[in-house]
Amino acid sequence: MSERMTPPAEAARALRDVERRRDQARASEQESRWVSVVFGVAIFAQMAAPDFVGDDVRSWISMAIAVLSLVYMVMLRTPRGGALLGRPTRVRRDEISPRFVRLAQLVMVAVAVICFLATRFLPHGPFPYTGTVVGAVIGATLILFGRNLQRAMNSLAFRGDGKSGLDGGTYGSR
Amino acid sequence: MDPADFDTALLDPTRLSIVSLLVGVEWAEFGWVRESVGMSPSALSKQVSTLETRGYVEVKKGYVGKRPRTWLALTPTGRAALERHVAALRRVVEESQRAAERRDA
Repeated sequence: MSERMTPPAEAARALRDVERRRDQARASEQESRWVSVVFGVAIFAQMAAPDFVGDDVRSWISMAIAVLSLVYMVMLRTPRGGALLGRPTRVRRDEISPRFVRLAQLVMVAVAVICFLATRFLPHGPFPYTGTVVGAVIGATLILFGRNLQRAMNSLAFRGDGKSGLDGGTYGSR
Repeated sequence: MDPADFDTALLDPTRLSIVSLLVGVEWAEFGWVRESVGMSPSALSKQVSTLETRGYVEVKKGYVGKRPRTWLALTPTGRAALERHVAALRRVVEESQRAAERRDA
């Protein structure tokens, strides 16, 4: 192994490679399409069921979705679970931009408030089969565009701000 | 610049690439790392063994169904080594820039 000083051009190239590989790792967080299909079908079932079998079944489907989400979260945390979901890596949580975390929390609160208001004031929807139509749209969007949505979310969540997570300095483009 | 500032294991571009891929993830599948760096399994195994011997990379083996899988993770020692190495590289670049500015002035 060489013990000589690294020439500046070589050092700059190495720094660019480090940054490129980090970006590559951030972009790797993808999962199999079947995960989107399962969640898309579950959301459709949750929204369409009251139109066909009454409101009583809604709580059971909600519970099933909660269990499904819990299992999914547990699987995400282990290498074997990640492999079953088709995820080759798990990006470190400290790579997520704090701004994105705040935005995501706001969006979740807004969705919860909208769902509460919708069930409170529009229990049966403005027209027949509203739940089925909305469920079909959301479910199909998730199934067809789930992976694209995930890529878009990743680019927002892991967007670099020109700072290195290693030492807080900029590097890679000199 | 003191040559001791550089990590000799990370002066190798392939090993630097492997460690840079792993620094942003909690774990990565061996197959994904292999595809990312474009190496053969045996060549990657050799480099990973070197990094594992130095305590930079942790290797876990297991099965998903009946298929064997290997996962790689960067250890705190490996992360610290990469931080020192990157800091040393940045100093080289910055000193070069300062020298160029002095020449231009």
